[in-house]
Amino acid sequence: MVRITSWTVVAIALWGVAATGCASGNELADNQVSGIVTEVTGDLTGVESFVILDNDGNSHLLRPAPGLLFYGGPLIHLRDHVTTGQRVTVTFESSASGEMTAVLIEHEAS
Amino acid sequence: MKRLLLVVAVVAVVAGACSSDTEPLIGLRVSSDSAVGDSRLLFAVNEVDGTRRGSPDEVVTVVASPLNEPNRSYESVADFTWIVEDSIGVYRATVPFDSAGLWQIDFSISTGEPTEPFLVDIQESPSSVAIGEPAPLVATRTLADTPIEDLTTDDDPVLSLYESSLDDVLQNGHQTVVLFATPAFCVSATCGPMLNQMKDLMPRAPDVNFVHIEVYEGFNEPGFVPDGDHLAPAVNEFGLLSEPWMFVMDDSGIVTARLEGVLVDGELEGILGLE
Repeated sequence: MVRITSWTVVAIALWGVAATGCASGNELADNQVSGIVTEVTGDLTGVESFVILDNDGNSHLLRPAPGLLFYGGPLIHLRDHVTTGQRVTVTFESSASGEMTAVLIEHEAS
Repeated sequence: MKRLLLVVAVVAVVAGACSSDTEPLIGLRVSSDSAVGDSRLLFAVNEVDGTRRGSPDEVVTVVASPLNEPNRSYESVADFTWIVEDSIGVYRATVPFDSAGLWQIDFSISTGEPTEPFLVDIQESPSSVAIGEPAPLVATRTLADTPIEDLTTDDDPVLSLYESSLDDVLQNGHQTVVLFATPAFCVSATCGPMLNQMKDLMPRAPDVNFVHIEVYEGFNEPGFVPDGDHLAPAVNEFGLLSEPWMFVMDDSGIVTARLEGVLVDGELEGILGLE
């Protein structure tokens, strides 16, 4: 029989914190990435790709799905988010080759 | 005792995982479409997890050099400006970009934290109108032919910004400030402020022409989509790749300043000689 003491509870709780990480309190689905926009390639007629730096410091290159808008506005406005550093959450689809296609871009929930 | 050691170990793991003390700060280039002859470098400073840094108290010094000529460098102290007061800001450094190609930007911060250099590409000439070139004499829609609600998405428009066609004001012998921005379609904190800053300054510069050009036309039509088919002709004539952009022209219609995205406090006043 295992005895559960207060030390054990504290240790388990701290382990849980370590395991879940501390960069973000938001749950992300497997097909989502969240972070700041660091690069946008394109112009007012369309965006070819953009880069998200996630909360762990990893960069992700994404290409937008055809016709994708950003809250009804043009995708080039992602450049404004390079300026402001406002975080976004991108829902994407992955191809067999690993290419990520953005299908939804939202401001990160606070 | 073993349990105490376990707790200490886990705490150490947590502390190590959460700390970014040893990670260098990163610089993010905000300026785009930069070319030889430009000297305005906007950039942001972030922690590696994306947390925005910067304030007037965090003084940043920049050393810029062509990547292929590391011994030729320019040093300057960057200005800081808030985009959202006490929350989000960017730095502006003045660098005389005098050759095309990649430039390395090293920066240091007064906090003494380590930093990571970043690169900017300087083109031979910009996509949009360059400093020293005549601004395109393009006719723009005015209140004489278009209702105000179809001229701007600004919900508090200043009518004088839409009274004259750009081609006319560029030839009337006065300085001209033209802003390309679309406040209603902006989903961040940058487009609206630039227009508001211009509106605030206008009473202090009665001899200067001020024009706001909405980036898209037809935005009140059913099914409107902000795409290339709806770009205002002036946007194409100026060769804009993004917005907001502000251009300042002298009394002969020659471009004297290209300002993208953010106006630093006092920047436009300085260009117009109002200080």
